[in-house]
Amino acid sequence: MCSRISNRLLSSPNSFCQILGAFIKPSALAKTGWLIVIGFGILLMLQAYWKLIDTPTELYYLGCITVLTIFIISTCITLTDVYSLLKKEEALTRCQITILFAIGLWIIGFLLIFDINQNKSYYLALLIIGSMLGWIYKDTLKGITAFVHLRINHLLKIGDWIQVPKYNVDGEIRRVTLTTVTIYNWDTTTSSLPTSVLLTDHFINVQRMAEGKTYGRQMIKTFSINNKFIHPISLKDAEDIRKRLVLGDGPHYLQDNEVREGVLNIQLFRLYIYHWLMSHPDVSHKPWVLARWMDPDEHGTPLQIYIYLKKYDLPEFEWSQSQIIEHIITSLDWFGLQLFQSRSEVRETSEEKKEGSV
Amino acid sequence: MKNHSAKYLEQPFEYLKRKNGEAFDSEIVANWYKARAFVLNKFSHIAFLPGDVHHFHPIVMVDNECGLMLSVVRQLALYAHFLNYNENFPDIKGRKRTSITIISNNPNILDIIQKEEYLCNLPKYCSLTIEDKEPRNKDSYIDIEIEIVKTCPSISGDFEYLITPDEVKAFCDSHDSQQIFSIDTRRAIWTQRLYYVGSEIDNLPYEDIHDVERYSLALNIFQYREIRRGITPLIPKEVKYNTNVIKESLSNIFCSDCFETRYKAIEQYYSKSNTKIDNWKTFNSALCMSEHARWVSEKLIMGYRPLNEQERLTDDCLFGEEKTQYRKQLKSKVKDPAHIDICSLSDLLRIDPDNLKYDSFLMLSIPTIIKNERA
Repeated sequence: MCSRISNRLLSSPNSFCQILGAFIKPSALAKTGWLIVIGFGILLMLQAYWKLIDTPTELYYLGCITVLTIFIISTCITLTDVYSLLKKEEALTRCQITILFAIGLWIIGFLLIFDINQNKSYYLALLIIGSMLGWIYKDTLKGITAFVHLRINHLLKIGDWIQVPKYNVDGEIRRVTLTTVTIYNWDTTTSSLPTSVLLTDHFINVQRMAEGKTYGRQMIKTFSINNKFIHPISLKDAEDIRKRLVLGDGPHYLQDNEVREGVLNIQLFRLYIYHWLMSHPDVSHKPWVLARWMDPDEHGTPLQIYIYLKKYDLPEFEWSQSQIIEHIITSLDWFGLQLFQSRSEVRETSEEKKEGSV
Repeated sequence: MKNHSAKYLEQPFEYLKRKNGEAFDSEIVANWYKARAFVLNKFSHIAFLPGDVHHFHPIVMVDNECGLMLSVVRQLALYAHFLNYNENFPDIKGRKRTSITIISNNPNILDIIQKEEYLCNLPKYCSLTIEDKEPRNKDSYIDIEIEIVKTCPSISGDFEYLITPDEVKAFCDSHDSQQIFSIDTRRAIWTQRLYYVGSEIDNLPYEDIHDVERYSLALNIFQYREIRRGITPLIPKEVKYNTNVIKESLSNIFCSDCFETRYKAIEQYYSKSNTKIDNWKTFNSALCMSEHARWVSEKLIMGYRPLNEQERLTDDCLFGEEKTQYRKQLKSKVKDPAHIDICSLSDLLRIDPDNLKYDSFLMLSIPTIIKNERA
């Protein structure tokens, strides 16, 4: 019932209704808030009716501001979910700032409730102990902050495949604690990283891609075409290409009007590869399919294939990638092209001659 | 049959036009209504869960050029799409397609079933076996396979049903004509409305059709926007002559006709709590595959076809707004419309993944639609 009313209010275009809807939504955090309210209610009853316990007033104040902070954060988290569906960037920022503001208010409230400034010796002792503990447990504290940050923002969970290039870590998370993250590397070794490293250093979470929840797995390969073989096609070449690739049986990847005398063979080759990739059952059209020429250099004119394969598992991906590479190499010949090959045999012969002379 | 409320009863088939703009004969339209009522009544109990080893096999006896029986075949092709269909299964038998057998002695039966009022483009793209010849399009991604035979095969399987003209006629005679010749559009109206919810929500993870959490969050909240809109007919008077709107509305009817079988399948697994979205999330990928297969069959029957080689090569070389316009233009051709999304689900995942969200969204909205309809 509460959930239905909350959803109804959240669907309203009115901001006030949305906030009210988010406030009454029974989320896990809000439930914690209600549990604290109930806990304090019981304490109050025990104190008022039976005088069983003597609870300091500060504890009630602390309870009040804690519950208020929890409700504000819970409301903001619910609103963040709703606004992110509607791509309302400004409202999202407001929610995040409100969360920070609520935490800040809780800290100020805490300091005021316990009136730390009044008793200077108490303040000094707290400061010294706090500094010492902070220094001793600095990594632990950083770890806790990192842990909370990673968990709240769903950046990490057990079983995720992560890469931390700086520490040469590439594997699956086995254990996450407040201070340490244990990773089982693909080379079957195990790495342990302080949790804080994942907050301060760059890491890559590959999990969504590995689970097939992205457009595909990136494949970038460059083929250097030997410049010696680049030429406009003759009438006979055009006929041969047409016979093989336009008029033959099976699917066609070139249009008849594209194959004509005088067109550069590398242009036809690029068009063919592009259409072939667009029709390939493993190649995703999103975000893009690129078959592009890179800057020519001493190794020839490089054609770069920049695509995303719908094969996420490494062996499957490599299999599909290899098949694509093999087809590209095979099709070079149909357009009278060859890959660049450094003349190693010439170098070897000259080196042999030198050795012989010595 | 459900209890009908007069304000939801509509006659949408009347508005459908031929490709040349002419209206269909009243007898053809009447046969569509009769066939729909018969098929929904007779086969609404059939439901399969993903992985079920059975498949549905109706055998339809067609006398000469009997329009009513051919309409039954058409309706079966629109309706019989189940959760156990798996287009990626390597062995064709394991894909669990619905197999429709047509018994006919007419040598021109193939031409007849390819008429606009029956299966139109479907036989060109689905697996088709004529007598004992080698099947055409054996590896087709469509979840319907058609077999044309001259003599009635022996019926032995669990889900094999012989449908005779007498049975259909007897059904029509024994039912109230209002029940047969008008359609309760409540579900279709809700389907249309929640489809719009899906299209309005921008930030859905279209690249991940299985991320059902955001879909269900959006559904839970934004369905209330649609509830506020009140009751309107599926096809309002002012759009009765707009072919595209009519086709969209009919698509919503055909889509919502299949809810019952999906609902029953989930019921098999979860017993009574099948109106909870959480229970439907488990089967989201199977539901999406079956819905896409249904959508493809529906589009082929409604006269659409996949892009041909020339159109595909042209589409490859267009980008951004130009590509969108080109695809729209192909789709809105009156005489020979072509749709880029008429392909297997795995091809759709790589060609046009943005559109996958609609299948997922609609399937997750079934419990909400059923709940709203009951309310």
